[in-house]
Amino acid sequence: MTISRQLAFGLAAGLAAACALLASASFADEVKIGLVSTQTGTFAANGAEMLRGTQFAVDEANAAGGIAGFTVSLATADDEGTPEGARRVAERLTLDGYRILTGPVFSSVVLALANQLSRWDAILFSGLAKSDRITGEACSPRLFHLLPSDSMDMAAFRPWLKTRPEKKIAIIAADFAWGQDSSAALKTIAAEEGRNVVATILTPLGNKDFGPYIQQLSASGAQIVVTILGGQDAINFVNQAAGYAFSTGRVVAGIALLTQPTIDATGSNMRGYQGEFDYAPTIETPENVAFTQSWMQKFGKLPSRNEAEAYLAVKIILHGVRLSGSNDPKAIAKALSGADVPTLLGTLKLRKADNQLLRPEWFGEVQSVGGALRPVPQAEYAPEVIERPVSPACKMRSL
Amino acid sequence: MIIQLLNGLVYGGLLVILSSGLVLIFGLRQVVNFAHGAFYTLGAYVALSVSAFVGFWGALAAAFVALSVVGIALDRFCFRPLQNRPHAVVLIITFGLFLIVTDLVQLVWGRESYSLLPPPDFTGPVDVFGTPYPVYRLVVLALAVVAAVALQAWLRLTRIGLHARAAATDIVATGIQGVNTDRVGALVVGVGCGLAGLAGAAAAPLLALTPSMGDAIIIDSFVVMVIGGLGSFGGSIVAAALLGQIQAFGAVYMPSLTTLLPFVLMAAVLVIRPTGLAGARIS
Repeated sequence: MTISRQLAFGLAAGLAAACALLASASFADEVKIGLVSTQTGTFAANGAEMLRGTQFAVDEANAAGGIAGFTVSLATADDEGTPEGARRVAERLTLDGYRILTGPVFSSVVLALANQLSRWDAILFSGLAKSDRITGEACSPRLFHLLPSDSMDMAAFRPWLKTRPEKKIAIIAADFAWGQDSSAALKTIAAEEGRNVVATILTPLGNKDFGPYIQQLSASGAQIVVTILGGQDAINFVNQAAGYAFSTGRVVAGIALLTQPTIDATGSNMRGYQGEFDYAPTIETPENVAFTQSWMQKFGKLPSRNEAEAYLAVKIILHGVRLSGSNDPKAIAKALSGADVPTLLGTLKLRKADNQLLRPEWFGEVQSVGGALRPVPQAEYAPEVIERPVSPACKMRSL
Repeated sequence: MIIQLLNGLVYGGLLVILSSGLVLIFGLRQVVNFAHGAFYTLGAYVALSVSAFVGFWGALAAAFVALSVVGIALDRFCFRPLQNRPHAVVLIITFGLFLIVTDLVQLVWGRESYSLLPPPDFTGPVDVFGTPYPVYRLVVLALAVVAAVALQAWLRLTRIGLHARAAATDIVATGIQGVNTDRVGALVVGVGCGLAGLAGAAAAPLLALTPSMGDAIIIDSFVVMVIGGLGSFGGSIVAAALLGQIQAFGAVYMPSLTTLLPFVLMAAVLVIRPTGLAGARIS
């Protein structure tokens, strides 16, 4: 009896050791990417785009035989658009070994995850959020901000505003961190450029009826109306504004409004809308042309900005794997900080001081291209025009 | 001021169509149908899919018919077998149905946002007291009036309406009088769900079509139902108009409180008049 019990213990211990060895062998051969994104609620469509772009990049890497000897695996989780939800699902992902995180839609989610990265021994690539706080008080060697920040968007807005003769501006913005920060920054720029902000309207997130707000904007006498709305809110605004012929006789310009899904979802209602954008499938770099072609082959339509940004995040992660020759999050972060990285917009720099990707932006208009409405670039602003100084609030600690 | 009043009436009109269905179903089956929001969403997507073939007006009709069929099936396979079970059980089942239908919409149409454009003759603005106002919003308002009048006429002037009102008062006694209450139940739930589909299709040119589009508006509809008085059409129409005005004027004069105001109103009504503005029966 004693012998058989000892034998059983021995077998169990051997089995456990073998499992651990197998698990560590498979961990060692994989780059494990965790996508924390919003799959339900007002911004679910954005989360779906993030998933498509990320999956496309992962599949592409694996089809090419992997990266530096590693295969790439992807696990996804729905953060329900809330910081609490994101913390919960990211905890699970990191416990499962997915310590290279990407995909959050909201700045609040990025900021919530940033606090936990050291505890999880994880790194995070923020490819859709825009708050300046990401590279400000939240900056960390484990956190990479790949999209232009709010203040970088505003830096692209200012030169456009200089070209406009109109004096009266109104702002309609979603009432959360992005909308509040951007509208405050826009008011400052407008004042500095000698314009009069005649109305600032903050609308609840997920607002259904924009009629009362459109009426207020019309009554304000604004000659330029700037929208800082995303997701369903942007679509609802555009469609309802069309009923009022709102864009007749005034300029409607958007921050992050000129995205292909919004244009597609609003019929011809966005024709003539203007705005800044950080990506469009019409940008003619060799990398972007190749990407849009392979995307078209797979999906039969052009990639959206969010899909491209999700793709870009994975490409940068994998560049870090290539540079470091490792799948360890810390090694990847160390290799990428301050590096020149290949992107869809050409080779760009990840600024060492705060891990902000320095990239160009465009200002353009929604026009018909080959029978379909597209955001067409009219002015390009180079990274050095868009670049903002490193925030004094950013105190980078060691990894 | 008049334009804001109109804006309030339009949103209130949408709520009238949607909450009428809820009131119908509650009046007869005593069920708060959580799946109503998902049926509203499904109606919008049905309209989107068929509008290319049958035009916008055909799509409105198709959404009503399709969701009526869903409602008849819901009554036959859910409400009728469970009519003797506690209300909480049926309520939880309708909540489950809400999740299932929302997921089905997501599975069939994906998570992308879509829009259904209004018919070409109703796209631009018309002049209302010197101010341009979207003609499609007036169409929604007219549709709400037609739906409310037609529903009242159906309940007041037809034999089946009489049976529905009788069954809402006492379903057992109505059955004893020889009325086929199963048939009445199926028809009432069918029309109730059809109205959810119609509301979704009518809202589609104004709102982005997403699988979660019914989540927020169904909460407003529940608020309407509670304020109006569970089971009362007249009360729900008054409550919907009131809620629409609160939303429209709240957006202008108390923007930071817009989302809270409906609940403040509901709490106030519940404290002052717990049965709602008009009581609790189909009348």
